[in-house]
Amino acid sequence: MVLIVFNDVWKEYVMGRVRVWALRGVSFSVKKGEFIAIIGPSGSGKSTLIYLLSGIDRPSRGSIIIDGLEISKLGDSERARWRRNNVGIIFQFFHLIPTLTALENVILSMELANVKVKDKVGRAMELLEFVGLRDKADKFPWELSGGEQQRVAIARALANDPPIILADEPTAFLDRANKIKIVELLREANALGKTVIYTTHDQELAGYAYRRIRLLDGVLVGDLNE
Amino acid sequence: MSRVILRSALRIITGKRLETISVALLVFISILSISSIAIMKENMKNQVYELFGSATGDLLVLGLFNDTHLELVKRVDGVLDVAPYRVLAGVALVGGERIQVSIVGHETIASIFRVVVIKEGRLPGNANEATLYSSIRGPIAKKVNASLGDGIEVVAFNVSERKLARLNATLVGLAEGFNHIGRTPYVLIMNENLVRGMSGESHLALRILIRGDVKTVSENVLKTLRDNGVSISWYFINIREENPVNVLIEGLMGIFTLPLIALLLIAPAMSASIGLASVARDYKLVAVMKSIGFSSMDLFIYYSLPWIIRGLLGAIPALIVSPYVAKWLYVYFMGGAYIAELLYEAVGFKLMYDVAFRYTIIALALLALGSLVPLVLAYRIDIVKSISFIGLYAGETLRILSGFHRFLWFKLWLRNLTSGRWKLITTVILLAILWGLQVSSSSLGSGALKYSGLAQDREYNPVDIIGFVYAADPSIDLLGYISRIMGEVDSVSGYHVTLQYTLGVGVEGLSFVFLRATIAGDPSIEYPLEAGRYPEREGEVVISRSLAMLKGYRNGDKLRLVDGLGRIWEFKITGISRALQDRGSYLLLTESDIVKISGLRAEEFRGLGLAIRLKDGLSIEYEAEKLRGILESVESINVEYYTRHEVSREYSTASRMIQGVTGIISIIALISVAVALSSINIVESQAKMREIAVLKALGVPPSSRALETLTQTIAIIILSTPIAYATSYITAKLLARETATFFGYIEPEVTLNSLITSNTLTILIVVTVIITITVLITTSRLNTVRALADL
Repeated sequence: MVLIVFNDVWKEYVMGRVRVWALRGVSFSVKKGEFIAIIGPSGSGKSTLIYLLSGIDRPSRGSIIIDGLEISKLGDSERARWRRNNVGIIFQFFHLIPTLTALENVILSMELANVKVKDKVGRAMELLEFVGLRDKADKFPWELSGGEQQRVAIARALANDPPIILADEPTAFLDRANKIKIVELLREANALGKTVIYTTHDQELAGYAYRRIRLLDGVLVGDLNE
Repeated sequence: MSRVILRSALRIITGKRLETISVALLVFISILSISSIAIMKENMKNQVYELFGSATGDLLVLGLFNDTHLELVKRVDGVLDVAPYRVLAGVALVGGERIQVSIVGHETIASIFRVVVIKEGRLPGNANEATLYSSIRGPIAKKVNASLGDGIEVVAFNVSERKLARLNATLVGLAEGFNHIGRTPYVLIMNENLVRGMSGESHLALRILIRGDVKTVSENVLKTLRDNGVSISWYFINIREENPVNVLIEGLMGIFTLPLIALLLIAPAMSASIGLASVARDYKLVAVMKSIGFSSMDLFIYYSLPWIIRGLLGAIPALIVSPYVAKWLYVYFMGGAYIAELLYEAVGFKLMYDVAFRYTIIALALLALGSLVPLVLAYRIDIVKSISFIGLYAGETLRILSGFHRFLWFKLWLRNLTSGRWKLITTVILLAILWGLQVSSSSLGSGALKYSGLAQDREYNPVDIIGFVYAADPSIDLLGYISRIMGEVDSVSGYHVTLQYTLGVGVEGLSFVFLRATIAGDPSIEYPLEAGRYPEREGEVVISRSLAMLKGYRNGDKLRLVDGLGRIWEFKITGISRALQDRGSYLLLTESDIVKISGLRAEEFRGLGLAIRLKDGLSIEYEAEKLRGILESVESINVEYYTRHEVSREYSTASRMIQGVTGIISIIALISVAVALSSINIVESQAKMREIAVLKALGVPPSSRALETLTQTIAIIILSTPIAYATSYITAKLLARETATFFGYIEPEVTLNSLITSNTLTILIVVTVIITITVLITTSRLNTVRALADL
């Protein structure tokens, strides 16, 4: 079943007086439950693709249809509402809320999505257990290592049980052991039925995915499905 | 490296335009307001001193002098010049009103008064003409509606013939000015030869110029005159610092200067808080700077110098324009621009750049001090930790409600508030200053309003009419006359007659201390006691509750009274009175003490104080007029009075004035605080840009940030409440002390309720709305993608 349709998407950024095309006519589709790595060098448009898929940004041209809904036509607040319930995002720089503990960062996602879970604390603890951080639940982000922060970010992304998990270079600032741990966690999330799309420029980490989409200068240059 | 850093610091000034404009504006407003008020005040004081000096010289002595006395005074060591002039005291019937007047020759008036403005007509030409001059009128003096051509009947004591003289003249001119002679604001300018003829060879006033120590020389002059049999009825020593009118001006201007000084604190608080926010925002940059060898001086140039330069941008124009604004304010407040302009011509208006410069330096020094605060944070930034940290940084966060997992948003906002302790502290301080200022003025105004109500309460305030009875004819037994009439008139329930003598400054820090002594009647009508008893023997005094509150005196304490010569008189306080007409300047002594201090014998007092309590149910105004008519049935007697209604009105006027002036200053403070807090919140939003972007990415609408700001502002308001209360209490007390010489000591009514009035709520709501809107605009403009991608 096709979940995502990325149809001839163009994205232009204006930086001062310079106009840059981050994506140029990219088209692909994603089936429900796929585990995809978007690969490509820096500046190839990987992050832009994640921002567009998550509805954080809108394409300059083309359409993005997710589960039958053309999100590229939604307004800011509609996309924000949609995102809360349908997407879990993991950022390159972790981006945990610094004034909330690990546990509270996970609960925050449920609060945002207004998830009807009776025991939010219990579910958040389960997710922290899933990422191996149950004992660090009451630590603030600045009390955690980079790898730990990113695992909390994964737990946060899973908190409201979204069908799609998007991760933008989630391992960029981690050591090898942590990189592998994070990708394995993403694969476990995929095993739980989530559609997972992550970006990386690391070929080895891309190898964990079952499908690899290659971008170069904003153009889709390869789509390898195992 | 410093030159490069300086260049980048200058770029910060032009790049961060909002911060630059805000600080420059705040510094401009604070320096301009305080400097212009200070320059105006100093000019007023200078003009008062000069005006006094023109009429009094360094020492003015009133009495009866002849040429021999004049020569004796000239020979006193330190006396530069002695100018005798003739002033006759009299009573005149002008425009249907009988008024007390000083009579001066038309040539003399020009030599002793710096400003005489002929409003209508001219100066007198012959003995049958007169010009009525009026000065600033106190509440007790009657208002005269005179027109040119009116007939004037004058009764004055002819010194040369030692008998009462009756003169008839036609009014040929109406004049006004700032000087006055004695307690009456009216001077009747008559033909010089006529006045000279009536005063004979006697001089009634000596205007003495002195070289060296004015007090010592004055004491020697007075001693010389007394040793030679002269009875001195009054004297005045003109010392700039002790000039009683200048002390009054200080008191009046206190309601401006004190709140404006608080305004000076806003700019440094802003430089400290925004500077801290900038360093917090740039913590990685600071760590990098430190790691590549930036010295403390380099950090100072980068983070502190821009604030000082921004301050200069506001300070320099303020320094330049404040003297001119002061001049404009002076003309505005002085009322008639014409007379104010004449005053410039006579005395001049000094631009006093030194005063503006002083406040400029203070403001810049405070700003520089505030700008150093961020350096403390920069100094504490750990290079390794900061550079290696990836993610969002918020400093150390307090574990507020860590075990409580409900109301997560509220908890998040609360923690955000406490994690930015710099913002919390500064915002609370700024808000407390604004709030405290506003409440302090309304508290003082409420205090005055309460007194206004009490003045109308006949139980609390027994006296209905307070007057002064003056006899131009020294042969009249004034006390006997008053006592007889008071006994005969049905409407009078009780009365109190006093001897009165005024000291320029009698108790330190006060102006015009009025000495009173009971010589007939019941003192409790005019001076109802709250504690103790009335003076029975020499060295005892009853003071007012206002003076007791102002100076912290208690019954049984010692009070030191200093007269114009610097002589110290010690008294024991035997009672505290709650007389509302006495706002802290009246001392009730024994008759013998007043005689000793004044140097006058009891029979030499030409006027007596008279306070009356009427029987219940009578119209005060009607009975007062009737009583005046009876007392003035003798033609040389003049009566001036005011009623409890005037006392009440004066307090309500004071209340309006205090609230009006401080209300304007509160608006200035409001604008300043709104600018400061908005800037702080904008910089904070910039510092939290990535966090806001993350929340947006997670699906939080921009309005949430506005809601957070709103919640935090409400939390700040709650946190500010006790500080604002303390600030308002302390400021109101200080304000009451500052203004005591002008309004009298008014006990401020500071209550918790006074913190929340409609005015206060309006101010708080306006500040909250401005901050929230500013934050909402800043957040909605945020480029989420760029913020998320920014390392």
